[in-house]
Amino acid sequence: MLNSPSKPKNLNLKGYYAGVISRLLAFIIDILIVNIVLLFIGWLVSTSLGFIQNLSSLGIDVMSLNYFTKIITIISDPFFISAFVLIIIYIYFIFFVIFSGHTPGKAILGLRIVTTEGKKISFTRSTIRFLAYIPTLLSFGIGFFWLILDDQRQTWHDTLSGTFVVYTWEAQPDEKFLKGIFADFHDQPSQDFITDT
Amino acid sequence: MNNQIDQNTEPQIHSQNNGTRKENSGLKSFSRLLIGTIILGMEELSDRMNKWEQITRGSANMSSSEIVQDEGQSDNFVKSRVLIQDSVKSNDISDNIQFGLIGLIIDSQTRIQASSHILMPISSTINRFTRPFINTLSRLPVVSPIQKRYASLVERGEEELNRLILLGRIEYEKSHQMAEIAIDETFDEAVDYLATNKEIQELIQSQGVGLAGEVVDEIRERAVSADNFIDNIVRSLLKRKPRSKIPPPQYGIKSGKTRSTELS
Repeated sequence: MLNSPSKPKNLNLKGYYAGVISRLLAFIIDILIVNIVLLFIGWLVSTSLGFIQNLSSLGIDVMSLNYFTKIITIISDPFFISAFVLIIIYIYFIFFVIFSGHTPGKAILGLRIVTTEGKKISFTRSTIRFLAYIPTLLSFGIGFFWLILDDQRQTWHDTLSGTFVVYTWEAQPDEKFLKGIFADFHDQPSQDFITDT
Repeated sequence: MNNQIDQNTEPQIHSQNNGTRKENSGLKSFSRLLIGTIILGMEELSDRMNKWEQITRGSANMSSSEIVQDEGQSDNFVKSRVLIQDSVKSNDISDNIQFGLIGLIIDSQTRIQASSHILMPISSTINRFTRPFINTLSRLPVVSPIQKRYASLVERGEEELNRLILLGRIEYEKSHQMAEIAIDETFDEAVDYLATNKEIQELIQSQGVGLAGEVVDEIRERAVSADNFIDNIVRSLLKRKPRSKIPPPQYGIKSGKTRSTELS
């Protein structure tokens, strides 16, 4: 299918379905970025509120204003915080996917989301894909790790939204790295792992 | 040293010496810069030397403790001495001369320091014995004109010395400041040059981008390797068809020189 076992160096997985580790790493990077963004927003809001509250020491009594008290009440509401975080995550995942076909995490790992026809993902489909994360998450990761067993390496949210995640670079396994792994797994036939894709 | 000197005293001091001289001549500035740099350098060197001395002492204590251990274990102390002598002998002649000179310098300093303790009591003893004779001599009427002359000379010398000390204090401050400004400005200019020079910027950028690219490539390759590895293990455990026997996507991304994001 790909290359003969005698020439593993010529393996090129560009356009092939992406595997579990690549996708997991991309997801972790995305989560980290979202967390940093949320932390920054949180810091900005809390600093601004603290500054406004400290204005009273300068003789400007802002706390006595009704609308300011209302704003603080709304902002500190757990429901509001949850909704805000969800909206940020939604914007992050939708915005990047619509415009470039991948999130920053996926871009680093050289992955791209495409439709089952190999086309660029639309807004509607990306929204469905985002909502389809819910069953994947509720299944405690089973929905994600399903891609190991799936012939087309589709997770549940991929299947529900009709998408694939593929390599967009000249993907080649790192042979030295694999040999290092096989050194710990003497029982396994190493050549099969290098050439099987 | 009293660093807070009234700056207004300076013209007076200089006017005593030479009233027509210009204050901010180039030569004077250069001298100040030179003196300031030496002062700063000496200060820095002194600090560093203290640190080095402490480190050397620390390591010397360690090595001496090792020797004591050797002595305690057996009579290897004599052997270690012989070994050191052998190692000295085995070196080149130039090395031996070099080490010999270093040893001589250090040893001379130590000897001078040690002898100063001996010389001081000797000097005071001599002074004690000669003082009665000198006192008697100074009381003679023949000596009194010479003595007056000597006293006036001493007074003038002291005045001159005080003037020089005062000038030195002022110049010390000025030189110090000047050297600091010179170093700061040179450093700032060097940093500005590095920051604004396009060639250097491009070099740093290309190096950074190249390194980041290599890291990303490495991560990707390892991730792909791990993808296949885990896939094959899980699929073989569950007796499923190996990934290599599954057909690839119908569409595809053309390999070669096409952009990685272009789909066919």
